[in-house]
Amino acid sequence: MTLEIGGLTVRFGGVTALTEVDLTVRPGELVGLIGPNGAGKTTLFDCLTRRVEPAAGRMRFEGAGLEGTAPHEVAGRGIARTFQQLGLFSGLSVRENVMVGAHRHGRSGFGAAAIRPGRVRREERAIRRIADEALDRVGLLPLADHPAVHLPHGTLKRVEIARALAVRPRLLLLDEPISGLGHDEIADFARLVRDMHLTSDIMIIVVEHHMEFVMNLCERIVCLDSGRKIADGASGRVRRDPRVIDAYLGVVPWASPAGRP
Amino acid sequence: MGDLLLQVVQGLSLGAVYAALALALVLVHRFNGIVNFAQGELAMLSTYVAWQLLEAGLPFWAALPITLAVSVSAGALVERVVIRRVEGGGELACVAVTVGLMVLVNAAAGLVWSFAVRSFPNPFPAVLSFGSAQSGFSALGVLGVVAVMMLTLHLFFRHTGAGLIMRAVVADPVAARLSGIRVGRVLSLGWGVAAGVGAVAGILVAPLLFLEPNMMGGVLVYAFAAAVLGGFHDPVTTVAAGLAIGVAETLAGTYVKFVGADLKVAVPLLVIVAVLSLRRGRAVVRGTG
Repeated sequence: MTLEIGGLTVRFGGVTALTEVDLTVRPGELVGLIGPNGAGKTTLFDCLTRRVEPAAGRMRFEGAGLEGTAPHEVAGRGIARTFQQLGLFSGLSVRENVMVGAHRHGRSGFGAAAIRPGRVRREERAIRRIADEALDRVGLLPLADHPAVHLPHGTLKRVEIARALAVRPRLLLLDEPISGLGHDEIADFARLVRDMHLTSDIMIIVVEHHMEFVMNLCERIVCLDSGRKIADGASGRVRRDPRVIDAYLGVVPWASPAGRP
Repeated sequence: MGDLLLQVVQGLSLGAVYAALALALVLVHRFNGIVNFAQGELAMLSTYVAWQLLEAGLPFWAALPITLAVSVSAGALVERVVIRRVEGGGELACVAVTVGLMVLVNAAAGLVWSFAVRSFPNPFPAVLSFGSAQSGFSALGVLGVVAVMMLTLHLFFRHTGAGLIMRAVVADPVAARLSGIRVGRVLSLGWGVAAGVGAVAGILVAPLLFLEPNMMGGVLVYAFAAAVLGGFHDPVTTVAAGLAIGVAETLAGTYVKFVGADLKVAVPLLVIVAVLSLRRGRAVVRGTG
């Protein structure tokens, strides 16, 4: 019941974005994925969510290959993701945003709405309940009816997490979840992710530039540089790895309080 | 005074037809950013389907739901078979394809049904059938049908799971797909709903304009005017603009001697130019988000 990536290679034209990356993640693990800009972190997420077709390599999730999975089936396989830029539905309320994440728990198609309204209503109630559970988990139930705009950035990030949780994922991919957040919001966010990690068996991979955040949060760190994996291990060991320090041009990124090299 | 009131009611009912077709244009534009020049011709095709059913002896209120079902399927099919191939291929390609579709559907209808002008029965009973009062009554019927349709659309989009999924695709297709939504199917359904809305416009206007392959040309111009005023985005402004254009056209045609019946079509164009120059500097056509 693991995520196994082997020899994953991605090319965009003449540029090789990922070169033979191996990575295994087990249930309950919280992995920090770091690396300089252009290292291939987001590309790796794009492969797992089937937005990018790898040139070579294999990806197996819970014993079955991901290669034949269509992008809209990724959520059904138990994989959810948040984006660097907010990927929320702006015309919808906070609850509706999360309900979209939960909608796959309904079985009826479009046609059924006209033919079997009773069953559809029951399903919609169930979807609403799943959405409210996810909102409660991130502490946003009081804001459920608010439009998903004009809220603080940290709050909107939580809405995105709630939508991902409503998919009931077994693998959660967080792409730079704290970029643009203030100091207190970052502490709150770290608590939220740690809480998800400690209270469930979900696999979580966090891409983040904020070294203090990622080093404190994750026991295990994977570092990519120019598309190759250069380190993988306990955070204490990876932060002293000379190749990792080299990748960040000799600047020890976690020495500065801002965290960004 | 009673005459003016009748003119206003008739203007509103014409405007309701323009608003319905404009709403179809706005729906398609919001779903995949395409301006569908063939929207009027698809509505004309639906009207011929309704006419064929009536000729076969069906009562009007039985022919209507069948026509709507056929139109929704046809709209979805057009998206799946034709539009899917040019999506993301640039605005010009999409314009060329929908204009081509417009010409094709028009010619096909002429081939099948000929360009002869046919009368189309008025679905509303002439209860008060003395002089102008009857046309007032059927104008109210048109207004009522369009109002019911818009209320249904509103309830569908706001309060059903399918509507929620469609709004999510409009807001962000990438995030929607990642949440497990089959975006392609939703776009097809969006085109289907738009074709259904256009079909209602065609059927309601057919008793006034008579049935022929070119019947929707003028209506499309007015609908475009309303859609532009709504920024190809905002349904409420679009509907209000459609109603206003209908009233302005009718009143100008009746009371301004210089305009008369021949220059009526210029009214919406003047409205477009006036509004666009007043709004200059602000982008009128917003993206699909």
